[in-house]
Amino acid sequence: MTWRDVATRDIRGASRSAGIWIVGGVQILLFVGVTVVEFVLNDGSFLTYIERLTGVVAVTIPLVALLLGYKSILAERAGGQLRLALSVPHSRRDLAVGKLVGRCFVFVVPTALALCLAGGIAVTLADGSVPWLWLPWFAGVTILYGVAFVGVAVGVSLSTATGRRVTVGAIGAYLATVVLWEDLHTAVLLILHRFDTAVLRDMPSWALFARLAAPSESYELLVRTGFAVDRAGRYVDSGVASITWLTALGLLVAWTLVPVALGYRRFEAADL
Amino acid sequence: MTVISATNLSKRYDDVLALDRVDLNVEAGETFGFLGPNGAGKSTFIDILLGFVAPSDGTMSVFGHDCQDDGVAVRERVGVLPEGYAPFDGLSGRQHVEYAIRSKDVDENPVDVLSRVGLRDDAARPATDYSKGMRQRLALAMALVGEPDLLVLDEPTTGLDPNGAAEMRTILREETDRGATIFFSSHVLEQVEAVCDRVGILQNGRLIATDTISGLRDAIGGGTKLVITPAAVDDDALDAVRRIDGVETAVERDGAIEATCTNDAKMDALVELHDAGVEVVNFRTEEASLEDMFVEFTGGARA
Repeated sequence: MTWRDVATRDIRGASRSAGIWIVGGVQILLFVGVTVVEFVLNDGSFLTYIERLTGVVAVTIPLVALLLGYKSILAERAGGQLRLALSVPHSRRDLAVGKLVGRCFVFVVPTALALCLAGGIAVTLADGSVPWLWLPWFAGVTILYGVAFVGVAVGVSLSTATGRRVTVGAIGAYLATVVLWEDLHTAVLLILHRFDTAVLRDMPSWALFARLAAPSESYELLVRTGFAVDRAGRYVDSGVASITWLTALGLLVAWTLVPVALGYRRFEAADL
Repeated sequence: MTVISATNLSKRYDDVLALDRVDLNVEAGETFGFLGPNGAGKSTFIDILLGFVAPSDGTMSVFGHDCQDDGVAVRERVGVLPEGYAPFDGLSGRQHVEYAIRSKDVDENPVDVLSRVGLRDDAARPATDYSKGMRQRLALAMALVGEPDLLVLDEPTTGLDPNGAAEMRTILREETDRGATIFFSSHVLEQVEAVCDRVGILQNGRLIATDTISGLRDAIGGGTKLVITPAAVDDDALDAVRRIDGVETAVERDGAIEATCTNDAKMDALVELHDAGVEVVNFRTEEASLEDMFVEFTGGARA
């Protein structure tokens, strides 16, 4: 269980990093801000609140998670802490697992705190029905969505010793999965169907699956599972049996683990 | 019992051959000094031993465990003071030692270990605030945790003042007395000479000599050093000395000619200088130091 030592050390080191406290603080301000705006200024309902918050966190959470994770291995590799860490009887696998767990913790705790705070304020501000049962679900899938990006970030960080490549990889991962996935997917689909836009309204099941593979789409489907928000509608009535909330859950888990596994394969064989 | 066994070990980085077919065995209880100029391949050898780097060719094993495939088993019995490391962010000196204690799964008091290396009073400070010398002591403390059977120290005295270096030597002796095997690399010859039973000289990736210090001394013409102080040193005088049978090397240092030679050649050298018209002010003989032998073996390259 030596990965626990690595994780503990990582969390201890991170808890002294000013940058991580700032990121945590900004997240609290953001979540609370959305809550106040939605209930006080827009006089919204709990449903519109969840919808608004989903839209915001779908974009910000990946940024936070990537920011917390993309240097996790790289900084120690370049700085020399890795040599000290591997001078004791730890394997590289312990190190990779410990770092992943440590960074997940560093992401989850402040994010959960921010969600609870915002949720608490929302419950007091909301008049009428509060969907008590589904609030933990919303917090859970939001955290899972972020953890997927921690996985991506640690995977990128494991894959190379070159700082510039890791930075480009992290920015590239954000652009590809958060910003451009929908447009790229649409473009490919249109080209394949000779620019017949009808295909966008009624996608073939493989295309629907490819669209869902974007972490933000999976996340929105998971939110939709608990709340009747106006998101991820195309998956709900798709009639494709393999596309369920479980698929979305599996995809997010895969986003967490596959990049780490790929990065680890390179890390394992590398000269440090 | 053989502790470290390297066979035909080579490592190539792009176009640089860092290690070239090195064969080396280090026996249990030995203190082995690995000597060579910067860039000779010492750290590459140690990096392979620790599993940081994979060899291009050949194998290395420690206590019978392959360093490449079974690195954890190797490091369970090895205390390491690596080169080019940095302390962990946000951890005190004491927490560093606790980390080593937990990782090695032993039951020791971190304060005792820190006292041994002279860091007791700084135990609570963040290790990132430590000076270079203190970091070196801290890494040594982590290496000493768990009474390892082998200590691997890469340039252990870097950043230490003379006092610190002497304390380091004392600790190394205590460890040898306990029965530990010590393998350390250095380019500071006095360090190696002071503590080592046996030395290996590495140059451009090749192990060019492995012997005891007295064995090396014998290998170079009896190992006498003649220090001649002439009125003035010039190249002609040096050449005159070098031409004599039995003189291995002759170099100028601080206005004196230092020649390693056989006993018989000593008088010849003085006569030759006299004949060449060089006035000899003073001369004395010394036992060849490791540094002289090093110059001899590496063909003039300074360590």
